[in-house]
Order: sequence, then structure tokens, then C-alpha cells
Amino acid sequence: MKRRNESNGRKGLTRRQLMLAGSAAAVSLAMPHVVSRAYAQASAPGSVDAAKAEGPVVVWHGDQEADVVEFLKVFTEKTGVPAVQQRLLPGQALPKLEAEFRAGQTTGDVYLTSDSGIMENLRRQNRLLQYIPKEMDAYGPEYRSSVPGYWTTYYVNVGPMMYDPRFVKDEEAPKTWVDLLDPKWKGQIGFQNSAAGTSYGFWFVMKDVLPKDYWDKLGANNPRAYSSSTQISQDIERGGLKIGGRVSIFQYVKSVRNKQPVKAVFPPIGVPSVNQATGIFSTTKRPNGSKIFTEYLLSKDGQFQWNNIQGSYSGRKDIQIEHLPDINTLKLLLPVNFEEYMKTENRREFVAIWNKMTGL
Amino acid sequence: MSAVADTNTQKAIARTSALDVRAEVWVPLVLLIGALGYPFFLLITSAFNVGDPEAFPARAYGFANFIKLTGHLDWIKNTLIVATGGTILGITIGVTLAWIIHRTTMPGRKWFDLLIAIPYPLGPLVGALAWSQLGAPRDGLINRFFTAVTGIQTPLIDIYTPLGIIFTEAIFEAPVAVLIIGAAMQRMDPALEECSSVFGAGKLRTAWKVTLPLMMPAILSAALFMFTSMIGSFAIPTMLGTSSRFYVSTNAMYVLLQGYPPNYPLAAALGLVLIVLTAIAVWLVQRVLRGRSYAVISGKNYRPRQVDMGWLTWVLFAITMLYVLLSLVLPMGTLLLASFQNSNAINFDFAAWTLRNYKYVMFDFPTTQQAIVNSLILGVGTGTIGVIFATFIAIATHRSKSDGRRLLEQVTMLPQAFPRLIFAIGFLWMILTLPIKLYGTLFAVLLAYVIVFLPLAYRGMSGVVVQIDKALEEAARVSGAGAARIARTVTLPLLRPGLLATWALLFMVSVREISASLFLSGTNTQVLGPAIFSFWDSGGMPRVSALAVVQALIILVALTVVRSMANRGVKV
Repeated sequence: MKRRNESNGRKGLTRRQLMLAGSAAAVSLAMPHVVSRAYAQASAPGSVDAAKAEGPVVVWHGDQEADVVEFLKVFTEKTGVPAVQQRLLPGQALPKLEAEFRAGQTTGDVYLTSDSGIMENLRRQNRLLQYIPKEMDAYGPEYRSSVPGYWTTYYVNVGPMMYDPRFVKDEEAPKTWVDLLDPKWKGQIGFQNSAAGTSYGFWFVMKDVLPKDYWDKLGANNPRAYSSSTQISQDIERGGLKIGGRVSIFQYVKSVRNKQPVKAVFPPIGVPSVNQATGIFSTTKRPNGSKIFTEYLLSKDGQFQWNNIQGSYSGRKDIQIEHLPDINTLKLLLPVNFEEYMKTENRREFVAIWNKMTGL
Repeated sequence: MSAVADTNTQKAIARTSALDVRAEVWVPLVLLIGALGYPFFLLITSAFNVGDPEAFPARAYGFANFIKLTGHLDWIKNTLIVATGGTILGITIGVTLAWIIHRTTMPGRKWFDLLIAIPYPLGPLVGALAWSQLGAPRDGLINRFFTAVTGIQTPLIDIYTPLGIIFTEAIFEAPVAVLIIGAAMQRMDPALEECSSVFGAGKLRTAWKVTLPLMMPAILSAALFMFTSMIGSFAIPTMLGTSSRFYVSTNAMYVLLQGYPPNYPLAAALGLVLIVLTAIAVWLVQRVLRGRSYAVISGKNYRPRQVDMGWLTWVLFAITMLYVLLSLVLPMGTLLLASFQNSNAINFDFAAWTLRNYKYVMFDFPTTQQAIVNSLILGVGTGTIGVIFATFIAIATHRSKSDGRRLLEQVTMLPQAFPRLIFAIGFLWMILTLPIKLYGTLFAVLLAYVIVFLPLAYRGMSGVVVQIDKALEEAARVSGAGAARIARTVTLPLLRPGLLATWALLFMVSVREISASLFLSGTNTQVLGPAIFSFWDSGGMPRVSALAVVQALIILVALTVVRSMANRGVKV
């Protein structure tokens, strides 16, 4: 007993403590190597020769098809890697992806979507490949996945209101979101339908900013649902629709480029915006091509090319596109609470509200 | 004696109670049940799925989706309004034009026959696209012209209304009725009409009282086809109805399936309701036809006479011209105009016109070339396989004494009741689970096309088979001909007009198909319908108009080739 007490009273390390301390020291010494190895793997660039051997990179997206085709042409010219595209909105892409994952056969390599919540969900399901491009630091934390390299914002989709002064006088045009509730716009406001990720983003960021009964009141004005912002924009130009309730900013730029006298309205309370996110499927059969595509898309040149083709804001601060209002003058409302943004219950609530509002 | 009587009675009972199972009915039946079973199973389980809406198969079942559907009865009501109105208008147009083309001496019939056929392969997608620019209330060309001429600012027409949708559906589906009814008219024995004339009936009265009733199987076939087609019609309601808050089942279903999370259960429940509606339509048609003889082809005569309508000929000419104007000239002219524009609004400033939209869709847009080639391959494949299969089934259902004939017909018609959007989802899941690799191949799309167009092929062949008097084949048999020889020398020659017409029809509907292809075509299996739809969705009016014009030219060339091939034998 005495001996044990003596032993307990010793101030030195026991053998067990010594072993634990040694192990901890070994792990801490090794950790940077483990981490850097993982980082090295995640940032290992794709080989152009291997990419060419893999075949064309398959890009799934929900963007303007013509814009993506034009960008892919530039991409292939710059990198020598072929690429093809398929336009699939989330409702088409995800069931297809789900089926493909279950069957172990995937056709897509890179996914571009307006719904970063979906992308974050895919990341958590281990369905995205981590790849950290060289210029990742050019993107702020709000424009990439919390663990970098899974998804990154390839453009910021800002959604102002839009009208054509040939059909709506400037002084009559809405200035705030609440102005859309004016009965004079009954049947004359257009939104994208509930299938659009941008519509969900709009609702998500505005639901806590606008009055609770806003959507019911807006619904009383019989807003019309369109399947794309292109259609909203062309209906505005043709005089068939007076107000674009939320129109992707690139439609404004395209209209200006086509010398159409449209105007965008950025209410002072804030403009709903979404991260258009890019990621690589973990099951990609063309990892080299996918990495080279991602590397180029997120590079300074790639970002200029893409956003210039489309007429949109880059998540990078070093890219400026003609005809776009200075992003620093706008109060962007981006979804930041991804736990809430991803929740299926929130999405279902949105779909129910939006469908009811647009008469479905 | 008593023992013999008992034995005979037992044999008679055995004969009546035992199933008469014959291969000609049960082999295609089993094949079809296999091909339709799994997608249908998914549809049913999904419709009753009250658990996780994305779970396949479902884990919890109930009626909640059908109860929820009662809050959306307007979708079903609107579907019925469009389908009924469109069918009535389409059949009226179809019967009138078929009679004018095939039974009167109106000048230019041969050319009109071709011109009338063109709107159908151009399809509802092109039709909706064109009429959205012709009949838009504010800047539609017709309304602009009306305002310019009369000074009245109120629009003359609004195509974004239920009536506009019915009108567009009818004029672009009417050529099917002309084809189906026309094929029957060409094979009609004129003896009954001659009798009517002998007894003093006028030409119009004879047409109304004799020709029309004799055409009833073909008319009902065409009506059934149009009605079920319009119930599942996607492009026109989506393009003309959605933005004006007019939802039928398909454009509602499209939004339910497109959004995330997709609402499969509600869409599937809606799909089941449509199946029930179609089943009722099929049952009604069968009930009307049951127990009546419509044999109008006999061994006596195969060439009906054409009627000279005197001064009325020019009225008929005007009617035919009006149809061609509304369904072909104005739509194609508008698309042509739109394709030269720099912006979405059509202007007549020739200096600002451009050809760059054509350059883009033909040379700069890689999807187009692949889509064209794939659509042509699918058209030929679907036509050939579909015709063979449908002919076999039509003969089996009308000639076999086997039990299960009616079941075979019902199962054959079942795909018509499947909204193609939702069938495509079920089909996609089915091919993903097959041990052979079909997913992502053109063959998978071909298989889906053959299934979804089988009702159309069957209706086309059925309308012809039912009219062929069995006495002709029996006469050959009595004369000592074997089954193969009868088929080669009697049955096939009699079927030939129907075969060719049905082949052409299948080719055309495949080339213009969109709803099933939206989910089944992939990166390397692009086809024209979804390519145009996607362009409409996101490409702007000038480019999509240019693509539609290119598609129309391809179809026109293909149609001309098909007709010239067919004309070596019998006119299609």
C-alpha cells in the first residue's frame, strides 16, 4: 500500500502517460504530412494527355445552353480538352443522378447548378470529388464550400426586377419588392417557376426580410410562371409582360447588348442572389478532364470568358464585365445558412407557396 | 344414350370453361406486359407513396396523393376541355379534308395531300412556337396586322387561352385523322354509295348518310388517338398555357417533376387518373364498335369513285387552302421571319435582318447535327419495328379466336394512356436495373419510342385490318394456298396502304417526339425535340425559330423521300 501511495505521489510521467504523449507527438508531427498529402491529392492537377484519352468531359448544367456551348468552345481551344454539355434542371438532373449512382453508371462529370444547397447536399453524401484549383484563394468563403474544393461559385446570379420603359413608365415602375403588391400589376408580373433554383434562392433570402403575408398578397396579383429567365426577358421585350419579378441579371446585360431599352431595379432593401456552383461528381469517369475544366472555369481567364459570354457577375473581385452595375453598390442577399438552405422541409414549403402563388 | 349425352355435355362444359390460349395473342401479350409492367409498377407504387416522395419503390402507402389531387381538379378539368375540344375540332377538320382529298375531284388534290400531311411531322412544338408569335395578344403578327388595318387596339385573337390551345392542338393533330380516315376511304367499296345515289340521295346526303357511317371505325380510331394524344400533350400547353396560368395535367406534371425535390407521388397519381380517363375512352370506342360489321372492302372493287361537287368544288378548295394557310404557311412564314431577327420582337426592317441565327444553329451549335442524325435513325427504327409489331397484334386481336384478345388490345393501348413524361421516368428506372447495358444508348430511346407509339401503330393497322373481309383469305385457302402464300399474295397487298401510312406516321411522330425524350435522351443521344425545347427555354426566339426552320426542312426532305418511295407502290 505504502509503495503504491508512493508511486501515486510521484510527479514524473507514468509509462502509459509517456506512451500516450509519444503517440500524440508522433501524430502531431505526422499530421501536416497527412493533411498536406490530402491537400496535394485534392489539388493534383489533371493531365491534358490523360484527359484527351478519357474523352469529352460531360458538363451537366441548367444555364443558357448557347452560352455553355460557346464557353466549352473557348475551353477546348485554350486547353485542348474536348467537352460536351447537357442542359438539365435540378428536377431532371438529380433523379437521373440518383438512378445513376444506384446503378453505378454515371454519365455526367461536372455539374453546374443554380442551387448551391443541392451541391452542399451532394458533398455531404460523398458524391463530389474534392479538387482545389490553383486560384481558389481568389474566392471568398461565401463563394465556396466550407471545406474548399468540393463546390465553388462560378458566377453570382443576382436577381433584380426588370421592365421595358416602352411599356412601363419609369415613374410607375416598382421601386421596392412591396411595390409588386400593387393591384395595377395584376397578371403582369413574371417569375420563374418552382423548378428554378433561383426562385428557391429568391424565396429563401427574402422570406425573413419581407412581411410574412407577402407571398399570399403577391399571389393575389396572379403572377405568371415561366420556365426560364430567357422567356421572361423576351416577353418583357415583346410587351407581353410588364414586370419581371426576379430576372437573372445576365438577361438585362443581353438585352442591353441587343440595344433593347430595358431597365433593372435593385431595391435598397437588397437584391436576391444565388451562388451558381460548380463541382465534380465523385464517380466521374473523366477525372483529368473534369479537373482541367474546373481549373479553367475558375481561373481569371475562364471567369472572364464565362461571365463575359453570359453577362454575369464573377465571384472573383478581379473580373469586371461591361454593362453590369458595380456589384459594390448593390446589397446582395445571398443564402448563407446552409443548414437551413439545404433542408428538404424548407424546399417543400417553398414549392407549395410558389406553386400556389403562380396558379399551379 | 344417357351416357353419351352426359359425355357430350361434359365436353361442352370443358370447352367453354377451358382457356383458349394461342401463341399469336399470348406471346405479344407477355412481351408487352413485361415491357410495361415495371414502369407501371413504379407509377402505381409512387402514386400511393405517402412516405419519402423520392423513394423507389415506396415504403409507406396510402391515398393522400389522390386526396391532394382533389385540390387540383382544375388540372383534370382543363385537360378534358382541351382534349375534348381539340378532338372534336381535329376530327371535323380531318374528316372534311380526307373526304375532299380522297373522294372529290377538287383540283390540286395530290399537292394538298402532301401539304396537309406536313404540319403533323412539324409537330406541336413548332406549332406552338409559331402561333405564340402569330397570336400573341400584344405583338402577334395577326393582331398587329389587324390593328394596322382597322385601327382597333383590342387584339383580334389571344393564343394564350384555352381556345387558342385547343385550336393549335387541333390543327397540328388533324393530319393524323386525314391519314387514318383517308387510308380507309381509299379502300372503300363504292357500291353502297352508288345504291344511295340510285335511290335519289344527293352527293352531300350520301356523304353524310353513307360514307361517314362506313368510315366510323377509322373515325373513331382517329378520334381515340387524338383524344389520348391531347390528354398527354405536353408542348402546346407548356408553351402557350403555363405563362398564362393555364395548367393541364402535363404542364403541371412537368413542373412537379422538374422542381427539387420532385413530387413524383402527386405526378404519378395524376398519371393514374389520366390512365383511367383513357381507359374509359377506349371502352367507349369498343362499345360503339361492338357487334357491328364495318367490312367495306370486298373482293368486288377496291377503287372508290370520286365525286364531282360542281360549284361547291371551289368552296372545298377554299376550305383546304384555309387549313394549309393556318397550319403551314402562316406558321412557317412566321418562323422564317423570326429566324432573321436580331431580337425577340419581329420587325420588318430588312436592313436589320441577319442570317447569323442559321449559322449558329447549323455550324456553331454541336447539339443540332447529333440531334438530326439520331432523330432520323430513331424515326426509321421506330417505323419499321413498330409497324411489324403492330400489324402482328392487329391481326391477332381481330382474327384470332384465342382468349385474351381484348386484353391484348387494352395492353397495347395502355402506353397511350401513360403521360410520356412519367413513363420516361419509369422506363429510365427499368433500363437502369436490367442486367444488359441499355442506359445511355440510342437503343433504349428506340425501345421507349416503339412502346409509346405502339398504340398509334396499332390504331393505324387496326383500322385497316378490321375492314378486310376474311372471305378473301378464305377463298385463297379454299383454292389451296398455304398460310405463307395467303399472307404474301392476299393479306400483305391488302394491308400495304395501311402499312406504308403507318410507317410514315411512326417516322414522323418519332422525329418530332419530345416528352419521353426529355428524360431519356442523354449527352450522346440528343434528339431534335428536346434540343428545340431547350433552345426555346433558354435560347431566345430568333435562334429557336432558325432551328425549327432547319428541322422543318429536314422533315420535308424526309417526307418527300418517304412518299416517293411509297409512290412506287401505293400512295401514303
